[in-house]
Amino acid sequence: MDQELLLRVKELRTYFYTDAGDIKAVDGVNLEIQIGETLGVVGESGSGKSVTAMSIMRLIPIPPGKIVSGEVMFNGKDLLKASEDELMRIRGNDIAMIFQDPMTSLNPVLTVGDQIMEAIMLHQKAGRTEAKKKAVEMLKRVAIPEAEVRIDNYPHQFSGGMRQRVMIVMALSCNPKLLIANEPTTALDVTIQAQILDLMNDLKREYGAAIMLITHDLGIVAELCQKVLVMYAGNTVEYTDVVSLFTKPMHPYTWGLLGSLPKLDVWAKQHLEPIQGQPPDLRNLPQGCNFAQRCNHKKLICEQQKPTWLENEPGHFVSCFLYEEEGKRHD
Amino acid sequence: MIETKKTTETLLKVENLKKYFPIKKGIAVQRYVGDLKAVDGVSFEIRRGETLGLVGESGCGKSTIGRVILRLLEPSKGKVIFEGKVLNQLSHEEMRQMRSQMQMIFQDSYASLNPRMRVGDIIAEPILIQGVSSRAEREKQVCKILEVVGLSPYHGARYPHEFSGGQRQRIGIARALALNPKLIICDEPVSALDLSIQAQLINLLEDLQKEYHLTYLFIAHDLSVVKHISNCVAVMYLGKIAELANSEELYKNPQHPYTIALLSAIPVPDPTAKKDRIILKGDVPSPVNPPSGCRFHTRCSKVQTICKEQDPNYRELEMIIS
Repeated sequence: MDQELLLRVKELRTYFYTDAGDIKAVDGVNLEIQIGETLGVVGESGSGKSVTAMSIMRLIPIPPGKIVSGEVMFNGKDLLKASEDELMRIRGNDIAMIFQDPMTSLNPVLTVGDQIMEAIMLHQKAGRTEAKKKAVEMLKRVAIPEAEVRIDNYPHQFSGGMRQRVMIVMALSCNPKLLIANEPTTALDVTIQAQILDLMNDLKREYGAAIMLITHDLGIVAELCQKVLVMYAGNTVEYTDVVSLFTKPMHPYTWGLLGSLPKLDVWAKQHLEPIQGQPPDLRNLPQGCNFAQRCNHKKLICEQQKPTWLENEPGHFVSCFLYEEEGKRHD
Repeated sequence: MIETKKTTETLLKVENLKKYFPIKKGIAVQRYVGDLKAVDGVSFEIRRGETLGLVGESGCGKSTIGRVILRLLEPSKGKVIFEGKVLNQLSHEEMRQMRSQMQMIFQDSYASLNPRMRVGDIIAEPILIQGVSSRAEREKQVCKILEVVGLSPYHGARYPHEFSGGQRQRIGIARALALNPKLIICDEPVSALDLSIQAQLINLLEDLQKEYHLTYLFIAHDLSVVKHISNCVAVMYLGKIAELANSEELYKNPQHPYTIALLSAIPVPDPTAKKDRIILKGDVPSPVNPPSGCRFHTRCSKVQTICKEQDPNYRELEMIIS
């Protein structure tokens, strides 16, 4: 089991020290990704999904940010202790990233081809001609029509869906072992989203890369992921395989998320059961469980202590006092 | 819930509505080079107390329809009939009075609330403009409305930036409710919100509709939200309605190939569900130069020769029973 482990994050904490106070953006994140597996990371805005991804890549701006503690084991190496040179070799080569907004993450004054070729020439020590050949090939693979011509276009000449395809090409051009996709389809229309998701699924099979898919759409998680991590206010609250998450969710926050979801296949009038209130201020987190003030199942202890991250059933981790007696400590 | 409402009275009727935006070129002398056909012949009606959902991808003209109905934009052609009155024929002053009956909620609550005004003043402004001159009376009304949308009266003294996205959207709803309107046009009211907050607001909109017998035109791109809240749904593609049906009927038994593809494209939050997804090829064509014949023919899986030559008629297949 352990030799298949690609990435393990343990008790990661990333804080931002600002004039307005210390923001505990990530405050105890635990996750695992096996080789070739897709992990969905879900949570609302401000739950720490993106900061987790940026911390894994060590792309947190310091200051104001700081990775306070934790461990990011990638392929047997702790990325938090790696030197800048080692990181340069890993970023782009072993771990690649796709961002939400393809307009701002592509350089508007360079042609699409130049940007794809840069990655290939830098990481694979390829010459210009060879890199261009590979770039055209990759653009064809992601179904960009007339790839030979379009490679000399600028990003603004591409539609949103095509720009996201270009981002995918850049990320996959070096055969990464792990692809971190941060809300890759959030800015796209649903029919274009379907194209991109379909493409990502195909490419995953072809290239065998593990994917960490950050999203807030539970539908995408259900369709693409094998494992799911649910985050709330900087904590990981639940981690399990995708079927268990939908059939027997354990954390009250996950219950709330699923109850908030308008369903397409339910014909009777559905009454949504939202979570009351709103997420806590990250500058001023409660003493106990971060979810306690919105939780319908809270006990006295929930407001006094932080729950521990427990493996409640094999492969099903949850951090909640409802399960604390039965579970075993995981550390 | 549909059966209980037997009012068949039409509140809003839109007939063959068109909105073209002229495209001009040239720096010193602007010459007219063509039209962007944002809305190109749309007809529908909404009955009192019901919700019509308007869905479609970006650029299909759904927001433009909302604006044309309120005459924030003048239509190029066609009629908007509200309670039997043709809105486009009203004078400026008559229209101003009419707007108290029809209000709008916008998607972006950052941009649609004035950052320099207190929330109480934002909500009081429409009441003031419509002629309530006593300050005490206005304040009383504002407090009442704030409570209706789930905020507290003391929130009235704060500024918009002190609120979260969900709360700001409640303020937007409060402002729309201030004049007791009959029709509210909701332009993507929950798209920018997180799931749990989105559900709170959908429930609020539904409760308000029941309590005040409101009629909604609900514009959104999220098909599951639209299904949840609407009695009827119109699917738009490139400025035209591709299909309009009772909400349940549309989702159970979609007829237009575009609707079928659109529905199949939605990721289902059920890992065990079987999916046979229809992936539409390419992007939506430009509304400046829409395809000949049926506008969808360039991406349609069931395309025939006739589709490229003739624009299909918009006709009723079955009676809408609701």
